[in-house]
Amino acid sequence: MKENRVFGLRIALIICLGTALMAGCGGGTGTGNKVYRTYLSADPTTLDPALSNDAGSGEVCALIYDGLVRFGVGTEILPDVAESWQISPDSRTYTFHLRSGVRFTNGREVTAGDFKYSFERVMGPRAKSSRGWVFQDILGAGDFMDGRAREIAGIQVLDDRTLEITLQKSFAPFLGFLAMPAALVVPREEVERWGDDFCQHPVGCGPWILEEWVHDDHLMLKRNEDYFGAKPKLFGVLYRIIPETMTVTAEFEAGNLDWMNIPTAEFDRWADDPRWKPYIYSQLKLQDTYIGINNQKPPFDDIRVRRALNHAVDVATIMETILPGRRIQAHGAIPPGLLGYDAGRQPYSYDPARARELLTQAGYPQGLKMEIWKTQSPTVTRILEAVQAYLADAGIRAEIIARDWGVLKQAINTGQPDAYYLNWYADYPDGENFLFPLFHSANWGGGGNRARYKNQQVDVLIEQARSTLDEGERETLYRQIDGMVFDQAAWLYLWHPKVFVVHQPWLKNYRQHLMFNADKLLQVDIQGRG
Amino acid sequence: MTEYIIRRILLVIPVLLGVTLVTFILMYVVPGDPVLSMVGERYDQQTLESLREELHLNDPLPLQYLRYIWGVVRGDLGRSFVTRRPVMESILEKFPNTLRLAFSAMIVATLIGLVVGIISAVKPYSIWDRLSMTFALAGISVPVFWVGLILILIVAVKFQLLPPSGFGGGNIKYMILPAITLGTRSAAFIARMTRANMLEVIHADYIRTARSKGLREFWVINKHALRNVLIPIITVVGMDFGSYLSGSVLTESIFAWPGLGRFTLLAILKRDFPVIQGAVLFMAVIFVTVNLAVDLLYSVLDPRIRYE
Repeated sequence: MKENRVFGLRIALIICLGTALMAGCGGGTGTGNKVYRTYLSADPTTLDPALSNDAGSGEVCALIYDGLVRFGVGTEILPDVAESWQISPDSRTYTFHLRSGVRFTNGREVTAGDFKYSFERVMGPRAKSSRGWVFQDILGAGDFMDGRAREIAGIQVLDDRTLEITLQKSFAPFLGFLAMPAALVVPREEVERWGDDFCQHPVGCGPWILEEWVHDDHLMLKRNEDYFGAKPKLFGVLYRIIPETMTVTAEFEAGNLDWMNIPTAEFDRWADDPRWKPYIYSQLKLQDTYIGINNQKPPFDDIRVRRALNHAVDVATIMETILPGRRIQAHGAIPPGLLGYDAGRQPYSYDPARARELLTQAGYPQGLKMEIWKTQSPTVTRILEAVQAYLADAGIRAEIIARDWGVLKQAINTGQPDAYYLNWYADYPDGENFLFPLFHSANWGGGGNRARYKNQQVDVLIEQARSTLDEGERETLYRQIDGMVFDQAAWLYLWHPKVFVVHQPWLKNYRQHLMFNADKLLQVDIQGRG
Repeated sequence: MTEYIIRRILLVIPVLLGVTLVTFILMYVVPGDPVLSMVGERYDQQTLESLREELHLNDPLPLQYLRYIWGVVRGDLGRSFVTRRPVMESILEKFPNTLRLAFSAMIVATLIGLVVGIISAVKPYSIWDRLSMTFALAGISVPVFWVGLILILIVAVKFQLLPPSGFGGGNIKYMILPAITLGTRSAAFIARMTRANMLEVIHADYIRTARSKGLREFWVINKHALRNVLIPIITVVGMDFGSYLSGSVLTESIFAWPGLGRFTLLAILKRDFPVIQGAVLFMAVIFVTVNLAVDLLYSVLDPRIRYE
């Protein structure tokens, strides 16, 4: 009896607390007909560009902040705060001329010194940024990072509107690096004012200003009326945080979102619906999906075993049955649309007999056992179960090991698994982004080369390509490198995904951009929404 | 009495210390490197090492633990490794949302469960009884995410009566579907318990006496019978409510509800140590405080109880 009374009292106490809290509920987010309603699957981890390393943060940061340059709709690099730039004949020195009248939203004019401060902040220890690699090719960056220099010698402020950046050596994709979130400009006084909380109180000079951020629920951005360029056509952007794709679909169908990615499982329903057909767009993503093979771990250090894996799996059939119409089979690491993509190269043929033959040549006539590590995703499970069945036909007994992302990442980076299922997304639209991090031997593990691929000739060619500014010459080198790595079957090559989006009829001038942080939402408009 | 209160408060300290110690040990026992969650997909070893150094992750474990405890004593739960936000701020922001959801789910569960259970018991083996028990069986059997998605599909998308998801700044219409989703399972349990207990009670002597006094059946059931039936039900409600307070990950995810459950789960997946420690400690404090307060109130409300 006493126990029950105690329970009753507990309930009463909690009800009192609950009622008090319910009474304190606030109102909803103010939205209007000129507010673009979009979504993210997770709360941005930060709105400090120096710390941004997830797509959601990068996308929102690109709306609030500007950089010297920015990505266009495709692979082009456009002027942003810098209205023009010159590259020296030795391709090492970039001189940027800044526009006049560009102001942070605190009212102060943006100067070349702000860029120097912002770049050095990313490289310095105080910001705790992991994006130092973005600027590591600048002259003196290493000394600055190691504490041997108080500033980066290669970044010189010539005057308030002229910034000169000198690289250690010529580096072709450098402009693309400057369009990444880490290179967005921040005002020193606001960073110092807010300290660690700057990530919650962003002050930039971009077309949008953060108005409200209710974590894990929504972000509200309002138009920056003092933006230096053509102002956005809309007054606001509402980012809802919606983790479940089914919920996203429901919100879109209820008219509460202006666009959405069509979930894989729902693709046919949307694609066949005449009501939505005119509003469906597809775009190939700059992404590799692959099964990385640990190139250093026997027996996978044998090229014949790695080739056998590629011949054993019918990638085309897996794509058609599990992901119909949403993928392009990979025949190299560089995706279509990027410099260095080789449309003429053929993927590995599905040939189980050849796979068995290669395994026999490698000394495994009875086949072999292997582990393929993956995250907990159910779609990945379906894909890998199909891969597993194909491998079994060729005598390879694959065990699928599911781990959460943190554990998987640690295991892969230390070279523990035989193989692993992974994606690689472009940070900048250049073929180099799919070669240097992924296959240069300096980048084993966390640098991106998780397959632990090592080929001295490839290393040399990659370095040569990185410093070659001539596009034609660079393209030839990229193709050659990608072809060599493909031939040596560093991965089990799968596909490049396509994204399908559908938008509401009232959304005008909507365009998919190749890079996740390219769209500043300047053109998109809403007409006729109720 | 004062001495008892002081003794109880002092006893809370080892309990909370135990909670922090067990959480701390568990975080280091399970595999996964917290720094890897901070650095994205491309980083160099030097960055990794300097971050470990900055976050004192290279220090001996006892020192790290003591540093954390010293922070807690000063009211500082630290900052998230991933978002750099103060942990306490995040928890205090999310806990009211979790409480709202838990509270409304329990109201839904109790109301539906009692009504269905009573109807079922009063008209045993009738069509109403069968319908009610079918509901109860379904409520216990179907998974939470299925209930949530079906509700969204029918109520929000098909008939557009309520918003499909979101928090809506606390607006009550955003709370209805998540509350029903979360409360359905409890409602089914309560309905079955109510029916079973009610069937026992309505054949008891005191109920017959009540009827023989000429009381209307409505009052016999709702005043005399229900009071005794409620005792075990309160136990169930209390236990379910306690579990909801630590967050309801599935419901929060389906309805994009910014609660403590999803927040803590994401922290666990990212090995965000300060957030995991903070959230567990916070929940422990809530439970310990409620228990202490209840025990103290008990003596106030029941004069026979004396604490010495």
